[in-house]
Amino acid sequence: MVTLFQKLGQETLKGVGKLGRAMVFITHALTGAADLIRRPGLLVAQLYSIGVLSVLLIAISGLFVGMVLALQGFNVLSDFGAEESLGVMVAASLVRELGPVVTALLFAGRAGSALTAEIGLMKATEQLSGMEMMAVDPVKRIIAPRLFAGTLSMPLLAALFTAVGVLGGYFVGVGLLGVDQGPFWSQMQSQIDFWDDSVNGFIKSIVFGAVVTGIAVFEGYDAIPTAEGVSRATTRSVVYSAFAILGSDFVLTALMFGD
Amino acid sequence: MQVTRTTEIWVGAFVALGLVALFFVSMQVSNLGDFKSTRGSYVLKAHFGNVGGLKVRAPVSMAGVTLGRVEKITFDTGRYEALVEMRIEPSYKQLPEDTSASILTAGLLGEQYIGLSAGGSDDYLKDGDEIELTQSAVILEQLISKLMFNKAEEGKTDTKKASHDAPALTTPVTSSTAKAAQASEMAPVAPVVPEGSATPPAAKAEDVGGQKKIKPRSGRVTHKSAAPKQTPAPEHHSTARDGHATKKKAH
Repeated sequence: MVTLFQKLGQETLKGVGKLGRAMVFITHALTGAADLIRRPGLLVAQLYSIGVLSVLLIAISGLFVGMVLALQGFNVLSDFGAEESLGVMVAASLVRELGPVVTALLFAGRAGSALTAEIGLMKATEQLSGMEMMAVDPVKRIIAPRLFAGTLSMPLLAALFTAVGVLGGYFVGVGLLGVDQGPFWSQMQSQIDFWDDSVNGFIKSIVFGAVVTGIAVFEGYDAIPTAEGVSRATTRSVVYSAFAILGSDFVLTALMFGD
Repeated sequence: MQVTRTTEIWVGAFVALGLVALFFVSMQVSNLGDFKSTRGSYVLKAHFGNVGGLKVRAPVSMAGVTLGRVEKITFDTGRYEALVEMRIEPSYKQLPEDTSASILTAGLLGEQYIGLSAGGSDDYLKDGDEIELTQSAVILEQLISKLMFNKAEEGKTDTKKASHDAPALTTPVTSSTAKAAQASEMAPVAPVVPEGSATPPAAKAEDVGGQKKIKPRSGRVTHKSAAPKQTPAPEHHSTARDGHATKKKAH
């Protein structure tokens, strides 16, 4: 019984300690923003490996998600004779929810895991300690560019996902299923509000980007420097990211769309 | 990782692509182009007894065309009414001064919007002017409860009438029976009428009495339901319209 309580206390302290380390680490990384302005090359390199290399995955996923939404939506809407609302349905679900959330989940799998593995391996091979020996702050030099590149790429990727998804819905709805294209666009435009829907979706994607990259770089930096430790950290990074995305999505939705 | 020229080009293309997608989402999907600048537009005010479910940014339309949007809904503590401010687009400057505003619902359960209908005045509304003729939102629950109340009242008076009003109806009955007798005399084709005349005319009279009794009541109810301010509105309207029309013809 006593050992049970001891274990509980141990876990709690471990959790709080990790949270504290994460906070210190992230604030430290944020102070690296000034260095990034002086050396934008670091950011560009990370934008390439985080953003550009994710474009194809995001675009193809977005296309298929939009197409499936149109197919499924058409089946339901045609029962009510409301096929013209297909555009609204596809666009609303993409702009408000699926765009940011699915992009963030894919992003966590594609870029987040790579970040964790990369940083974890740097730690395991003592590259980070080596940098410290040379009086280079590894958090500012390695972590900050990745954190900012991830936070910047995510909204762009989410916007791409949404746009490609709407086009996919258009191809299936108008091209394949024969919904008239006039109401498809006009109903969408009258129902989707710029501030209430698009901007809120955009805010969501920025938050998700920061959360996913924050978790990924911290898990990598905090990994046990062994092969097994890095592999565990990579798994944790993806799992925690998924939880954080879905949890913060609920909170953000309640805050922004609750009215 | 070395930053090469190709990397930079790719990153540039990525950022451009993302911005194009953002542009697409804001312009094509959520139609930001419709969101006109407020330059040159003007504000109209109107008091409503009840705005119902009217929201900020709800359309303000005339003849089905959106002229502007609701900008602000506040509560006027002096009049205990809602004060609605509408921003009208600059291209619709010439709304007659006696334009009336009513809160309507798009579809059966759709969103509420403000419908304007033009008056016949030659003077136009200016920035900050108030629309005097307004009609509140129709609240579905009130409508239903009123209907139920009316139905219940009807049922009550019917039973009351059957027991109570019977003696009071003696005079009309006699007069109508007399009339009926006269009528039957005049109409030789229907010899059956005098025999049954004792009951049907009475029933008829009762009906007439009932009608008479009901009419003023229902009239009162409708009068009460429509705010006193609103009742003159349609009248005024039609006359103004007619005046306008004749004026136009004269021109």
